[in-house]
Amino acid sequence: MRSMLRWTSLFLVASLAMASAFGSGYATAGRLDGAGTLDLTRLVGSAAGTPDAHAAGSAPSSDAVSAPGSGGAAAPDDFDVYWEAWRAVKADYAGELPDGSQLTYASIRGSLRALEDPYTLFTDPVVNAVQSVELDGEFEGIGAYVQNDENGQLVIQTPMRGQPAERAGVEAGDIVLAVDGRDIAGMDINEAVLLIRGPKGTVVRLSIQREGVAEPFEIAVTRDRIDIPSVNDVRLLEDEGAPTVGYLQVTVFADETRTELRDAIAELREAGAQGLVVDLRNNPGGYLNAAVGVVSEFVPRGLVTVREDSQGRRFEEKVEGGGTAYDIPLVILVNQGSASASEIVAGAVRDYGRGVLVGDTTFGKGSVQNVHDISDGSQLRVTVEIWRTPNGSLIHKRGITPDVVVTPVPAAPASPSAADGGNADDAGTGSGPGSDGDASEPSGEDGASEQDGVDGEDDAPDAERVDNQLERAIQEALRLIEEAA
Amino acid sequence: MMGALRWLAVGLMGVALVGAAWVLGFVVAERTRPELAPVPQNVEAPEAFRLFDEVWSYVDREYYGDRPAAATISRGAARGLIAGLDDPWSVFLASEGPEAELPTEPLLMDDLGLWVLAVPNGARVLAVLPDGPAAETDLAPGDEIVALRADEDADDPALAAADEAEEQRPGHEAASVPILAQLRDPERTVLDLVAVPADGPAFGAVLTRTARADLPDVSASAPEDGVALVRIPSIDAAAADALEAALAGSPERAESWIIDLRDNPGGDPAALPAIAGHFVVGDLYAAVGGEDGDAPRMVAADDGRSTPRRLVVLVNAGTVGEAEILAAALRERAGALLVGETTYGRDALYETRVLADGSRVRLTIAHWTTPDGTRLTEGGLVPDRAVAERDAQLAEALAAVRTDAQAAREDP
Repeated sequence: MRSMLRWTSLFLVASLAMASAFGSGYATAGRLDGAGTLDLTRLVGSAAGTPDAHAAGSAPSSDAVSAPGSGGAAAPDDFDVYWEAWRAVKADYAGELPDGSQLTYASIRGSLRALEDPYTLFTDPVVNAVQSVELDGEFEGIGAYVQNDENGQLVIQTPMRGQPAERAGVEAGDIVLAVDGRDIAGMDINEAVLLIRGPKGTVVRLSIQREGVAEPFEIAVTRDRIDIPSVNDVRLLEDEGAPTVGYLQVTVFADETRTELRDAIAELREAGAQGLVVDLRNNPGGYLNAAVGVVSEFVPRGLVTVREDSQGRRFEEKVEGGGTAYDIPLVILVNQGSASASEIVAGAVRDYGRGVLVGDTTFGKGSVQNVHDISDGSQLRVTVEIWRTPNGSLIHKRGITPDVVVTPVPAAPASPSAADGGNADDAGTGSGPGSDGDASEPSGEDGASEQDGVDGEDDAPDAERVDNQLERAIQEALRLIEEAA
Repeated sequence: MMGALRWLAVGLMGVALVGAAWVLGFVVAERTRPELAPVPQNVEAPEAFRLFDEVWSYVDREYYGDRPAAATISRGAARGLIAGLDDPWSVFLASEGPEAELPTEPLLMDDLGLWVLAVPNGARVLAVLPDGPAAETDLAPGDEIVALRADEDADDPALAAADEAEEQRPGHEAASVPILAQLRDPERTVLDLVAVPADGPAFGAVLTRTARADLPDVSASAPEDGVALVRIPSIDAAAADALEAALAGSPERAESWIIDLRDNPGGDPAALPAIAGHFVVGDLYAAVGGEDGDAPRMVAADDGRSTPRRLVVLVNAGTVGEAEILAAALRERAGALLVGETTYGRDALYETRVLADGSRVRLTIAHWTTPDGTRLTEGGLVPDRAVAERDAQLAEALAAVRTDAQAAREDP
């Protein structure tokens, strides 16, 4: 009896041991395979998600194929619908298939849309090449803002002051028909812009059609390095009857923004400014660092913003120090086009009581994107964090309501369809909804508040337009100056 | 001593067995590994999909919100693929969510007075019915309805609260409801919509939903002695049956026929031969295949139950696709006179495929030509007698058959 018991238990233990050995061998096989075919990024990716390396990449040859549906626990089967659609298109579609990688790009965009996050965005190489210069703050070209008119023709919206296009005689409203003899009719605006751009010192010939001139004619423009300032329209508000108030506009948060801001403030002070109006209206944002830099000019210490990632980790962005404008009375102008980095600045200024916010409730983009260059020249932005103001308020979708709410007089917005601005994104493509639409060559905001006033198209409404938000900002600035005195 | 030795032997044997089991497990795992989903045929894509992989590796690693199920991503990619064709007649409709309810075929919205079709960016207007709410706006065939402006719902406190709860996570924007589903929503009585014409700037239109109007149906009447007026509002199996029934009566004896194909959004080419068979004998249209240039496939009308007669066909900008095929065939093969406006100009033939998960793809698979080989490459069929005003169109048609009939009498 006793030995029977002993044998039974021995048998059980042995079976158990063998079974678990079998299982462990089985598992090891799967794991080895996964590790062998996954590259490092994928490994990190799946480790952070579901630790199921087996499902993630079981096949050397088809890694790329199963990958889209594979990160984590998903069976490769789950991607069948895509392949089915792909096969149907390849086999039976009667139209002309788009060139090159366009279908892949479209598929990637579609897959990202499944995230339902408008800020996780894929930009294909052509669009990316045009848009990325804005945040670099410089490029080589002719220095003009362009856009498509309703017939799809490329129109010079504004030549930048003092830049090659203007010096060569290009005027606002000119229609560009051809570039170096190449007809650009029907061409995507971004491709046309890339044709116009080129290395400093080279010449580009533009065939121009101008109203009032019968025949198209050619203008040769010598390209140069173009700096795109992010701080614009720096002046004392003398014409508005407030010579003690300095005004400056920040159009985007780019690499050089803090330096430009500091220089502008110094210049205004020298000219006699005792108070400051910083205009962040229609500023779609830009780099987080630039926002920290701008806040650091005005606030001596503390947090600028707190970021939170998906794991709930918090990252504090602190004031950098070394600011030059801790005391000057400050009014910040915002509106519903002020997004992202603009809202970080507005939020910090509000939370520290450093200044008065005037204008409209801001856009409400409280998330941070990482920007990745993809190997073929396209670009991906991924929403990685949300941020809060120093006091902990969330901005996402709520925006920041200014201390003094001033609704603009109705004449203001130039483009009705873009008025509700689905997509003010953080790098400031600057041109309304849609990911690949009408982003012109480094477009700031277009139309209404173009700083150099060369914009010929809407001069009629311009004459009678009253910037009541600015007027109110001046009142507030004067009040603050008085209080400070 | 003996006992110890024995235990050692048992132990060794145990280790050996366990080791063998491990190896066996390893081998079994290697052998039974599921076959990889092979790269599907016709996919020359590994390069392209490395890109896909690269993009998603970043998303997997960093994205703030939750990752959707793979099937959802797959459907999203398929939707992007079809939208990327930039083809006016191809669309992807997911098996999940509000898209699952949407038809791939033209949809009659009689309470708005519109025939619409689901397209990637919204809903395309195919035809505007006379006397309906849409007729009072600037909407015209070919316009795409791309947005519905928020109506009174925006102030709904319950929705605002839901919004508030969602705003914690940027990845959780409320899924956008397709335009077509919003158009159908009977709760929305006033629709403030934004439409984009094929060329030209976007414009707004406000529609007030009416009580459901009577569905336009196949009808046959005799507006004058010896004249039969047949109205065919769509091309599908139901219309074919209704036509059969309507023609069973007296109009067969009429010497002149007016066939009204206005505001007919087309539909199912399979229904064409039966419908056309009442009026025309022989070739109807040719379907010309995709890139690989399949030989044109000529489709004939069903055996003619009527001898060809004097025919006038009424057409307008809302005469689309299969209706255009019918009009063109009647002109070329039955000597019909086209009266009205230039037609819509859809030369694509499309087909709806149901995918494994129930999602649907409407895909352009061919284009059609008239029996004589003419293709509508630019614009629609141009009428023989252009008459823009709707009421004047029927009058013109009647005048045409009268003079025709008179000519016939004078020249026996």
